[in-house]
Amino acid sequence: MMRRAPQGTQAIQRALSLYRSFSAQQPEHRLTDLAAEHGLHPSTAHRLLGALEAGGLVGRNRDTQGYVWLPEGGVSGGERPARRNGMRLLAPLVTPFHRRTEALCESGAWRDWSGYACALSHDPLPDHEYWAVRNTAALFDVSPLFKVEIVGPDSERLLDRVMTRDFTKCRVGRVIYTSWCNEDGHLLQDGNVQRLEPERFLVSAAEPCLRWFGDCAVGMDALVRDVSADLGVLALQGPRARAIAEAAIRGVDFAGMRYFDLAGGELGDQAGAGRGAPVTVTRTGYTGDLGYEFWVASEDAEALWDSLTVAGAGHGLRPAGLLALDMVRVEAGLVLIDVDYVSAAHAELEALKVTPAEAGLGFTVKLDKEADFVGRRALELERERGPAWAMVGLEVDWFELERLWSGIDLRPQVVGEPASREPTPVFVPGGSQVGQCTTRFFSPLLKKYIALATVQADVAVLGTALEFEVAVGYGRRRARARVAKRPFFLPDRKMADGSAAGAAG
Amino acid sequence: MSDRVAIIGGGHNGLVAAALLARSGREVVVLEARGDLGGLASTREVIPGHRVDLGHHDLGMFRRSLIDELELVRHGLELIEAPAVASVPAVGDSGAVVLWPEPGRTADGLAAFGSRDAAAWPRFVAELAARAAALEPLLCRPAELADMGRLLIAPELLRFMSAPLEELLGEWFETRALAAGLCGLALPATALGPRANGTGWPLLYHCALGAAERLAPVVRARGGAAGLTGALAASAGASGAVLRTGAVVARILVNERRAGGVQLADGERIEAGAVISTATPAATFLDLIGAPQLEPRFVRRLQAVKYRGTSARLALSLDDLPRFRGLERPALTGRIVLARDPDDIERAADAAKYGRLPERPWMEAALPTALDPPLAPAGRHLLLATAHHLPFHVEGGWASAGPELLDRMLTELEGWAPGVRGRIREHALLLPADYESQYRATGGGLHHGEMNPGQSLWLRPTARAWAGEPLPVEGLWLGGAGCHPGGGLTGLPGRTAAVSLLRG
Ligand SMILES: Cc1cc2nc3c(=O)[nH]c(=O)nc-3n(C[C@H](O)[C@H](O)[C@H](O)COP(=O)(O)OP(=O)(O)OC[C@H]3O[C@@H](n4cnc5c(N)ncnc54)[C@H](O)[C@@H]3O)c2cc1C
Repeated sequence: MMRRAPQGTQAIQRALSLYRSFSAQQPEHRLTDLAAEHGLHPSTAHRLLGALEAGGLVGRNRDTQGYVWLPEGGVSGGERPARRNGMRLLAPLVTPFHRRTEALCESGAWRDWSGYACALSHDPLPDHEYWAVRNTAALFDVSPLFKVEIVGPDSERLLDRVMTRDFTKCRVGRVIYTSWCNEDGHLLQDGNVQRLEPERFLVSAAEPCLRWFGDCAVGMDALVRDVSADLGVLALQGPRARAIAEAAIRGVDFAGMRYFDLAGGELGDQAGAGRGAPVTVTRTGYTGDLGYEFWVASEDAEALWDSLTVAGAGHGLRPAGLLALDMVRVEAGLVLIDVDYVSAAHAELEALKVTPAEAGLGFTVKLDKEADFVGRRALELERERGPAWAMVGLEVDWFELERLWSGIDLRPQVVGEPASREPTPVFVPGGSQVGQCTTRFFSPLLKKYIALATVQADVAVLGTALEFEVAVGYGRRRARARVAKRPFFLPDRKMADGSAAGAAG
Repeated sequence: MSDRVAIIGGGHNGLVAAALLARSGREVVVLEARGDLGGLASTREVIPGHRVDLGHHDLGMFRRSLIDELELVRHGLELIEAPAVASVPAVGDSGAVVLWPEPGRTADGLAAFGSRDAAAWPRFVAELAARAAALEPLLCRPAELADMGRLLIAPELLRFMSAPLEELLGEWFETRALAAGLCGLALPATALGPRANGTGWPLLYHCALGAAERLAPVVRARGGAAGLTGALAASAGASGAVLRTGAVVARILVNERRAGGVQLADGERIEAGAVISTATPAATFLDLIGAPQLEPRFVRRLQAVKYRGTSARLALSLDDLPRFRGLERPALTGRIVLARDPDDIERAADAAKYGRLPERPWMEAALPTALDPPLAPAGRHLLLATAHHLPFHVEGGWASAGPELLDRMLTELEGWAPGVRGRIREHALLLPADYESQYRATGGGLHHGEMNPGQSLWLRPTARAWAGEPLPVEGLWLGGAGCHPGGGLTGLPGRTAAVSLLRG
């Protein structure tokens, strides 16, 4: 899924005219001057210059922070980061944290996430980043999330119509995790919604949803706006997250923030002078651990990064990449769109579409709410009939893995691997296929091979014995597994209030 | 649940539905916002002492079966068939073209332009009639999926539906004025010029519903369009239908996705077990029900419907019949197409695309008093001139563009019928914006949705109509020109709505 530049050719034209401001006589410009000269918002100019920078057309003067001209498209050190790292960058989009993450990315491994270059890991291997989430703290750049702002008198009504959860019950200062469906009750996406003001919400999601919300808003007094590129987002996750956050952000009562609370603060430690850049903090994350997410204007992104990393220095904070994130989210039992379920927005076959319940998100469907939300009819029918599929956790223990690999005289070759997204069949023991396993991962923390699988509802009972296919050498073997509780790992600190979590950490 | 049927709109389609349902014993109430009935086919005294048709007044496409079934003759309908179908007056050294219902007679006249077109004409009419005959049954019943297959195995018909009209005609004829006359029959009330794809479709539609073997003869009702709508109203009334004018429907009451009646602008609620709306699809769903009560995918399709294709009607009271160059009196009874060449129409469409008035508006003129003299007081004649391919959102607004358009229309008319300006005693002009504000035609579109292949058959009113997908509100039917088969005085959308409702 590639993300397009915000305004099509407009962005290109603006970038070109920005580039033309540089010349041999005028090789350096300040961001604010360029923005003013071209009548652009500083965040827009910043974004466009970021793209020029990534393309090796301009560079940064580390001392003055100004943008400098690289006449030959990058001869003087302005080489594309991607090429220097020996890979092909899929799109020249970089997040507002890119200069920081790039400098720290020793692995040179980047992956396209919604059109943005994101580090897979910063170390050559993701292990330290993975352990940091569970033992100290890790910092993830999750800016490529799609962010849509919904503003206006009908904003609550719009969300209540779109979302399966009850938004009449969402207070300002809270975040709600919810699903949304198409007219047939098929799951389109899941995501978080922040209520920032009585009439202002922010939806964050893994895939584009602007048009859908816009379609649902016809006839309502609510403005639906894409703000994806305006915001930088960092997720600080792990037992030390609170201590670090307290040292980096002021004006927020971190100990008093409950799970899925939201608060506004500013950058800077409690003693710091002057006004820091505003930041929105949510006690959310995709790791199943104690954690916070920070939402800032793109131009303040680097300042946020710097505050958190300075504060985190004594706490073992590590920048972390997508591989570690994918590992911990499996332990947390969290499903991933287009890996564990296919969005109805682009399922090629009717059979691939699922309802929220079938994707393990049944808890987000509130049929007792008043609004006639999109898909309600179908979901009511499903409740009567019961869902056809269920999302379950599967667990294989070490001894079973040893049994499988002993046949080829090897240790189980699953340790030290990142999570695998290759779908594999799931069977009843010795029998026919009853579903598929979509993500699997050997958890070093739990010492178990764990997996997320979609299986027929009748076998989705806790403790049921199933089998799933594993590749043992060149052979395809069936591993005995058991339907297990999801999440696989649920530390108290994840949701506990301040004092208790602090103790646990 | 109430047994009553509430019908929104007292245009001809609403009246057809009302008369049919009342005859079947249903309790019917028609709610018409305007002070009179007839909608886009109404006759009003906008010039004192004159019965002026402000909309469509040609009954050539009106279903004959409805005339019998609803006993319209007994209720006062009197039909007059015009001797001529259409004509293009002479310009410069090119003679006038007259199209008659009898192919041989037309061919005789075309001989003056050379033997090729004269020889081609009867074959063209025969071919057109064959295509039209294949299409007619599809237009007269609800769009069925199986019909889609029938069309696909009729490549000639498909081609006629989808190709540009000018190209299709160019394959047959050399005479530009002849092509202009046929374009003039096909292209009223659309934004598409004759070089646009899909313009063969309206000619086919027009002929399929209007006796194609005689090239869609012009048929009028004595007394103007009101002669038809009056008879429909009388027939409906005689069967017990209640016809209310001045009744503006503000909401369709929907509960649990079921229509339960309507609410008028003054707050009055009228309960009904079923509602037929002949308002445009946009007005029906987006205004009277509201998008938040509908599925987003349906709203998306509704928003994609194009209502463009706007016109202005100028009515002139003259102290004598005008003398159009080269046209004898019988030729004056049909549609008089005032375009020298399909390019005149194309240029008007080009200007409209960019929000401008055409330099030289093409027009479709009619002389109703040539067939039915009492429409005007003794010694007076009515000339109705309709300029098509006008922009709805005109540069500078209609307040200033209106007078400019009037002037350009009169200048053009004078060129076609020298001396006509001196004969004008009174005039009235209805502009595109008036059709929206006074007749609730969304975007001024006179067909409640442009008649193009992308919005016809299984695609009318919206995409997926082909799937026979029921409307998202139970107990609600569309019955106006915005639904299958489309615009014009056919009575078909109203009949289809009534028949489907009775079937349940
Ligand atoms: C100048 C002109 C030229 C035309 N030329 C041609 C032509 O050459 N060929 C052709 O095929 N067609 C032509 N037409 C189009 C043709 O007249 C229409 O397609 C046809 O009359 C539509 O009939 P209807 O009953 O479906 O809708 P309408 O006649 O529009 O009736 C709908 C009625 O509903 C009423 N209504 C709407 N909303 C409400 C509400 N909320 N409450 C109460 N009442 C409401 C309106 O007032 C209106 O009376 C022309 C029209 C005009 C105006």
